[in-house]
Amino acid sequence: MKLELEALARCLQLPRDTLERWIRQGRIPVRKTDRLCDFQKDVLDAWARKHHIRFNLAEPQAAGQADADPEKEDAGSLLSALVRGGFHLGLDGQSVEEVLKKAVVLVPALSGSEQDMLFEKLMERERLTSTGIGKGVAIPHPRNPLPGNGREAMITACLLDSPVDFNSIDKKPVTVLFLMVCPSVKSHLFLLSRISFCLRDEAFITLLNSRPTADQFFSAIEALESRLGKG
Amino acid sequence: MKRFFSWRIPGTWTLFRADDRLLLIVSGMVVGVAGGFAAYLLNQSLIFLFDVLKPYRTCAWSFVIPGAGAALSVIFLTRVVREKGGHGVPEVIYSVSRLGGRLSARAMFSRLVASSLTIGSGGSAGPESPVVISGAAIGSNIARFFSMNERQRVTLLGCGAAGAISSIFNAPIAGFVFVLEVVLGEWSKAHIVPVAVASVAGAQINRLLSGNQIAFSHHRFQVSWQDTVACLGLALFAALISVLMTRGIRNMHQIAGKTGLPAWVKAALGGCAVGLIGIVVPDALGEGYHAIREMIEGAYAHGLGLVFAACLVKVLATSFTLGWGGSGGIFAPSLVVGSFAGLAYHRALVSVFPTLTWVGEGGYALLGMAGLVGGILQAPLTGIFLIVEITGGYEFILPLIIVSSISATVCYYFEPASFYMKELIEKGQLLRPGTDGRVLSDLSVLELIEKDCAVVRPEMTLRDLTGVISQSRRNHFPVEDPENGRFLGMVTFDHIRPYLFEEIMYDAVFVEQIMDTDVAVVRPGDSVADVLAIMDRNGLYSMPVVDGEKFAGMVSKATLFDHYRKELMVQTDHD
Repeated sequence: MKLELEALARCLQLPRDTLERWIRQGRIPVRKTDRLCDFQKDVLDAWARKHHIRFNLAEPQAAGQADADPEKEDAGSLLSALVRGGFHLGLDGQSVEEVLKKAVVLVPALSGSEQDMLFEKLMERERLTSTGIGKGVAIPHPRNPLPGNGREAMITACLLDSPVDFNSIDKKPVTVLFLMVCPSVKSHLFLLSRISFCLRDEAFITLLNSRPTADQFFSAIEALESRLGKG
Repeated sequence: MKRFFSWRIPGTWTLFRADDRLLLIVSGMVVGVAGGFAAYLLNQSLIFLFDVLKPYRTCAWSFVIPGAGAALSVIFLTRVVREKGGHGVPEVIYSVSRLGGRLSARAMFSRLVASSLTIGSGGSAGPESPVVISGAAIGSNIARFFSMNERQRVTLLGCGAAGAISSIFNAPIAGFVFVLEVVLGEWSKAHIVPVAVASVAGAQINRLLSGNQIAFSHHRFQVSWQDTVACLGLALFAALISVLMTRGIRNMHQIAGKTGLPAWVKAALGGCAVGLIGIVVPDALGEGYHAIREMIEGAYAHGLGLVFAACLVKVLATSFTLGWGGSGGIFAPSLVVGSFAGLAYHRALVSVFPTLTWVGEGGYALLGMAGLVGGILQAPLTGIFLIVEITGGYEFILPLIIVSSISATVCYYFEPASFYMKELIEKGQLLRPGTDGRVLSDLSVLELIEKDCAVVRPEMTLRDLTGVISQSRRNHFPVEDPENGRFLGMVTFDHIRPYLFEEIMYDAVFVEQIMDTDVAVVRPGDSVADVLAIMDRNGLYSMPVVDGEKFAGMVSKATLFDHYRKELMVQTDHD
């Protein structure tokens, strides 16, 4: 079969110059006629395997794109995860267990048994160490991604009616929950880093404590996230 | 497929498509035949010239004949075909090393004509180098005509050389071994079969055209244990003469270079000197096969002193011919000098141990030849096989191996590079396949370059920079002038590590304050070996590539290793 030099170089993941030189020197079973490379697929395949060179005809796309991080697409942005998870005011409860029990019900698209499982996992995580990260914020999340893949990352934000003692690192009682449910560890870390970026902003903390509307909350997130640039 | 079908591109024929071995064997045979013809032609023209000039050999002015011949050969090479003079074999090795086996079409005949003028007129030089370059050029040009790739071209070049050497000595194994040992320097399956076929074809052509006569006739020798022991001494003696001859030619070349005369005048002077020597010692003239025959027969009449003198005189005559610019090779002279040396050694042995029985003068002459070929050409195997084929038997194998290998080893101690390769090694141009030098010279900076670098600007703050870093996958950040895109310097992770956890510094420090402006850079045309040398010297693992004034990418040792390994695997694979 025949391919252009560039395309074949991408299939073999070689620099174009290297492939061109190898053809000239006769080191690779490919013939060049004008601009087209002429080769037999099975012969070249066997040759590539023998020399530990990857040969993939199906993927003649640019090398840079192939390397792009698929997880980032997965995680999307903090804003989209929050929109998916929802923003809720006025969650009441006196203990960690109580607020978490009520919070899992607010996570969209979970069946009853899944809600129970999520709650168990959140409590398990809290027993390990508190997820209260200070400034009155807690980020309850399961240690491992929930089974049942294909779900997109979501963060359910809840403002509590009364402060709850979460045993946070700064001993402050918690008034804000970001309940994170992510399909992968990578997306979890990505979103966590974005949340912690937002929480560094004093104006945002003030906004959270002033019981904002959903619109106010989301636009604040959008503004903060735009500073980070598109992930 | 049909669209590209062409009789000029046999690589596309169905028969040869999947595997080119058959193609190489068939074309190798053709090339071997052509190389054999070239050798036969040179041999015939030497005989013809010798006969034409015979009546004038006795004249008082006969010493100018070699001078005129050498001058004519230089004029022919420089004015008519416009090629650099030379021995032939080094050019072929250079072509294999650096040019992918490319040789000019003129080389098919230029050295043949020039050397027949030099040698036919009486210059002390060998016809082997010229036929090697002719045969090799025939192979190379046939490969080019059929648009073969470089690997195939190198193999065919070797086939041509093998055919020529096999034909001139009527010794196929010697031709075959010479090409693998000296010309190609690589014993691989891909070469061995076509070159062997070509050797047979070349030898067969010679046998068809001039009958199955050997350059030197077959002889049987009875070798006793004392001969084997005595060989040790002969090996040392041969090594000594080899070093003497190698240095003699080189010194003559330097002396001739200092005179500043035009090349043809130098050649004429050298030739006349050889002519004068020839008046006293006629055996020193020409390629000298005649003298070798006499010595093998045991019919060389002169005594020990004269034989030893003849040995030195032949060295001198060869130095005058080749050192002063005559055209020809060193193979035949080293055979002649070797047989003189062997003969002298034998005579000395007989006079010291008159009661012991030795194998005979002819035997020692042959052993001496093997010693000189092993020493001067650093080709012990060629020496061994050539003599085995000349004697037509195995009786000699033990002393042969001893003389040839010890002489080569001792010579290596004084002259690490063989006569053929000395110049190439000094210029760093002897690149045998699969070696470090070869791999590095094949790779280019442009093949190693990595372009996925995030570029920063000098007026960026450290905060901006950390943003870039968090998005990047590299530890090196080139700094560019935002106005004209000029490369200003590099920021590496190491530069900012101390400030990275001090948030107060984030808005106080600018890239231009932390960047390194004095960085070693690579130009796209630099050789990879040089780049590596700079990295090693400065303890670097990666360097920026700067094209003109603009940043073009990075080269790193990690990527280099990746490519190096691929290259090595591809280069050393031959089946």
